[in-house]
Amino acid sequence: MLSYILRRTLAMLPVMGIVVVFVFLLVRIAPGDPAAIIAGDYATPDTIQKIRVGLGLDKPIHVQFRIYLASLARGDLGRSLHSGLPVSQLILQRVEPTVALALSTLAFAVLLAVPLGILAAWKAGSLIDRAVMVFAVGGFSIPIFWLGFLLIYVFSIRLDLLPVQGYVSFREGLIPFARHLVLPTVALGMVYMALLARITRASVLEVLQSDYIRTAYAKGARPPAVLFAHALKNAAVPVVTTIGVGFALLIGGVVITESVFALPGLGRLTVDAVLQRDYSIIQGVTLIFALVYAVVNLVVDLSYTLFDPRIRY
Amino acid sequence: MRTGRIVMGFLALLIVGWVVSSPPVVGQAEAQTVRAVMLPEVKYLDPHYTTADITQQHGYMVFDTLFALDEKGQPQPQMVDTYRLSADKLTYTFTLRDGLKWHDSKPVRAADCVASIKRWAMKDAAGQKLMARAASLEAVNDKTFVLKLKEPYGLTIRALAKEYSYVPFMLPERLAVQDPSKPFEGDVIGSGPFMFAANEWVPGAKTVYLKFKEYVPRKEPSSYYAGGKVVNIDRVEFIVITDQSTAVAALEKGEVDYIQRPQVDQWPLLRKNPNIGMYRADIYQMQIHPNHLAPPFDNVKARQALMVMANQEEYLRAIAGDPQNFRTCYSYLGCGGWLETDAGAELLKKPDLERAKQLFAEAGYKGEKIVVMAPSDFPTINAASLTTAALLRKIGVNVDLQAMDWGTLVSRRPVKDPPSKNPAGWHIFHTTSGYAALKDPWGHANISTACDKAWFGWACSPRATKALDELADLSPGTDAFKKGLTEYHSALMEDIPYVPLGEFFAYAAYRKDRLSGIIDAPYTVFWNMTKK
Amino acid sequence: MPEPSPELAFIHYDALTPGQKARRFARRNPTMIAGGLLLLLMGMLAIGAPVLHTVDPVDMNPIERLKPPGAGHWFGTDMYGRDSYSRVIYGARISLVVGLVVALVTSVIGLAIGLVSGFVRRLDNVLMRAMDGIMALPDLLLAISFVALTKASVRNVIIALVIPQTPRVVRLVRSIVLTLREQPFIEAAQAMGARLPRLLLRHLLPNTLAALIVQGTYVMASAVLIEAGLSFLGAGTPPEIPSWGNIMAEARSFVRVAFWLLLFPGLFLATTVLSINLVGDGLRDLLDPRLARRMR
Repeated sequence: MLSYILRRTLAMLPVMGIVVVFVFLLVRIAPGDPAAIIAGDYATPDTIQKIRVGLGLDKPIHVQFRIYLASLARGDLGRSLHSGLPVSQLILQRVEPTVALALSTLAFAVLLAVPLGILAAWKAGSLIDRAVMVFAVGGFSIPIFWLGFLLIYVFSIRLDLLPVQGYVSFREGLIPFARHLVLPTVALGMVYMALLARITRASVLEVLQSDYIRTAYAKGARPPAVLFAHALKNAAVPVVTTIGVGFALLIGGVVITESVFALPGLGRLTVDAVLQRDYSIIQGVTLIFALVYAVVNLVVDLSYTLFDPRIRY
Repeated sequence: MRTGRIVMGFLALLIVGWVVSSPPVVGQAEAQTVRAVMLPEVKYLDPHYTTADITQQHGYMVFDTLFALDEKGQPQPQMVDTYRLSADKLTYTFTLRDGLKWHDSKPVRAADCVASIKRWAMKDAAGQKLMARAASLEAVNDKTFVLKLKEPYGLTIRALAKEYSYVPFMLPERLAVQDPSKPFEGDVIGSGPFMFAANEWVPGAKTVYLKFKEYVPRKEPSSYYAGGKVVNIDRVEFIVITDQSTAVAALEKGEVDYIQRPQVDQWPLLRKNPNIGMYRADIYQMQIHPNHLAPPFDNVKARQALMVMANQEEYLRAIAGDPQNFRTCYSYLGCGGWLETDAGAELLKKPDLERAKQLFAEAGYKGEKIVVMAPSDFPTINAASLTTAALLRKIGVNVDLQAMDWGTLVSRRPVKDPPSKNPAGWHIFHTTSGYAALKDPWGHANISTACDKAWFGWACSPRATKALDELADLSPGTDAFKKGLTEYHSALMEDIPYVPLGEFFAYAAYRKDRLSGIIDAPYTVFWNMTKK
Repeated sequence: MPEPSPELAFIHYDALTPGQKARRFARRNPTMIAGGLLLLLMGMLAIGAPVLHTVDPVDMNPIERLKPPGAGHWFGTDMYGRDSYSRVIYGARISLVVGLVVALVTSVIGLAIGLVSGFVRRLDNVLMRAMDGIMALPDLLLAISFVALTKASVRNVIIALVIPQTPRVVRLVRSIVLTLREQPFIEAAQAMGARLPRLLLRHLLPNTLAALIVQGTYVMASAVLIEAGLSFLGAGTPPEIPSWGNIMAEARSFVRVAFWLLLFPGLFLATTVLSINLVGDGLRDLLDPRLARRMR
């Protein structure tokens, strides 16, 4: 097991390498000049050039890359082109709302989707099955920002039950923390939930039709026992995989949700950085995201051993 | 599944521990915090580094100026206590007020001011004009400094009272001696009525200012940016909410107290709400900027075509909607201001598409693509760009409407080559100027007619440049002044550096059941404000 | 032969006429049929846009701005006075075309890479590392970066959507090839002298088609949604080409003032994505041999 973890960690390195190079080149080759953006509306071309030199953007690309690699090796993600603050500090400041949103969405989706998927598979072909599936697919089809606006309008403005926007850290109080997260979680969670419900249904359905389940029935086992003792464990592997795969989907949705609900998280940090051509932040955040994604996948793979004793590393 | 139960138990322990460790909700002094949605977000903290409005706004919180304009548009001393002008009009002697302190409690010295003026003048147009005429600027002692000019300059005090980018804020000497082409390094220490809470700053999300308790305000009442800056609140938070609907909803629910620039279409919604008040914060002039170095706009007839094609009503409706939100204005220098005149504006007053088509042909237009840059993330400027494109198409021009975000537009603007030579080249872009800029052509970058040294578009009119220079030395109200103004404006109308498209209003919205004492100014003034 | 009664039909399935089979299919898979019909409707609207629209979608008429739905403007007008109905109809074209093209391109490229990667062991490692690298970058962020940093155009949006989706198709194809390559029929073909291209195209490809088609529908649904999300964030198709995404993006500030501007494109978008997904689910249930017996 340990050697497996080690092997996987080493395998992450070339992947990270590709990510670093790709993002670095992408931001620099593309049009858009951070110096001009920083200089502001009334600035002169002279000023813009001075700013460009000050940021080191006038050097040839391979020189810039060497400098970047050297700082990465030291663990330094560089400084934001715009605010001059260290990228790592900016990321740390904004990581909490994103993680809180991601985790609560994960919990919401799993707690809702998995039972629904199991139900649909159990009653495959019936009205309940179809209803659950349409509901799940519907949730996947609604644009997140549309749903977000709708939720704000109904629950914040009309019913005055929940706040419109913003994030309150759980350290400042659990109730405000929860209240500010409810609407964003539901908006984002619907998408995730849909995906999860469908995979759960498909996976449980497949297991329910397998030979060993029929054998269990033949031996006289009652349906509930069959379901819980045998089917679910075996169906778990693809479901857990999807939770991991859906993580990337989650990141994308987080960006939009943070925009609509004004949550000061990493998603918005990245979008703003892209629109302002703040190369350092773009590079830093994509690197972090890729790293987290790789770790999540590793955890998911390791969790397989919990569910399926046949899987060994 | 034993492992499963262990995992569950662990998770349960985590949750319980987390809940238990949350400190009780401490009742904050909510009453004295003002939460404002400003536009956009504070990115750069050095007001001499960038012209970005939000940085100048940040400057007004944290820094102070030697002079400031009052509500009549007259410069009044602010940090300066008294000043003298010698009989030959060449020597200014300034003496600072008592009790001026930096946020680290050190006293403000004349040397700080001298260094700050020099730094500001390196970037600012008005400052450059001033220092070009200066023979020397030196501190005499800790409270007094002297400016010796080579020739009299009537705009000296006005330059030091400049209210918009770049505002001549005073910095401590150690920050002011740094090169302004890079943001200054070091803590943000000013002598203004608020302090910058660096440890609470979350760039892109929240900026926090705290009352500077050792600030000594002037004795006079507040008037525009001048007078006594008395702070009645403890804390100001600039909150970033990019989504307009969300911002308005937050104001309605009281999650924020103030929105600096709600978009036009939210105004009816805001006006309907009994708890929300609005005031006219600024007046903007929309402008079409052609590239004078890219044919056919190097020919004045093509620019005249733009002018005669422009129906101000049509543009303003697309930009601002309801007629109560805009007014037509045929003056480059703002309507209702001290420089208002419509000398030479005949072409602008009578739109005529046929004539425009004719003029375009006379300018030598042969059907080539005309590149119009349109920023899709800037609703007012986008509306103007789309209208221009539609009108040009109506007169048979082959328009290449390129949508981009503002960042890209700003990056492409400095390119002088026409699109035929450089794919990043352009023919037309649009932008706005605030009222303060319109009333100050000497400091207003957009209207510069200095050819190569002019703003993006590179307007070239030696006649206008000369007339503007001469106007600087004339006293307002005199006949000579009126003549000089007419001459300047006619020169502008003849050479057309850009096409003015009239004026539309900008309102700010606030919770009138909570805030009072708000001063009517383009940059939001947080002193004098009280919160219930 | 006389028509078999419904009770006997399940025994003599193959004896049914095509018409009976179709009706039976419709009874058993109502959601898939519904999805298919809706999709067809959207397609027809998109194709028929030049005929079905009432006003030129780019025509600005500032005097008429923000009018609610009514005579002459069935879906109301937007902030520039443009007719919302015509824009939404034209928007179908972009959204559907983007979805379709992305699905096709990712399927073709994914198939090619997946076949090679699954079968040729030497290339497998390299290819999969590259795919992992691309998959490690979050979808939307990659797309935003690409489009915002290049130029806003439909072509760039398609490229930006193809890149993150391709690795998923590759993984799928590869996993099928991996299971298939150990099968006797592949060994037999090799023993008979079949060379690599023939093996890939004649023997492996047909077995991947079913899964590919199903995956393709999901890619299409994703593409349509992500394009809308991109436009919402300001990095999608250029605003003067109406797509449901950028129509909604432009209308986002007007949710309280003119909600109809968000409602109609949102409904059309949701309906389209829903129908694509329903079709995909139906196809998957049909093509899975074990399920097919129950669902027929």
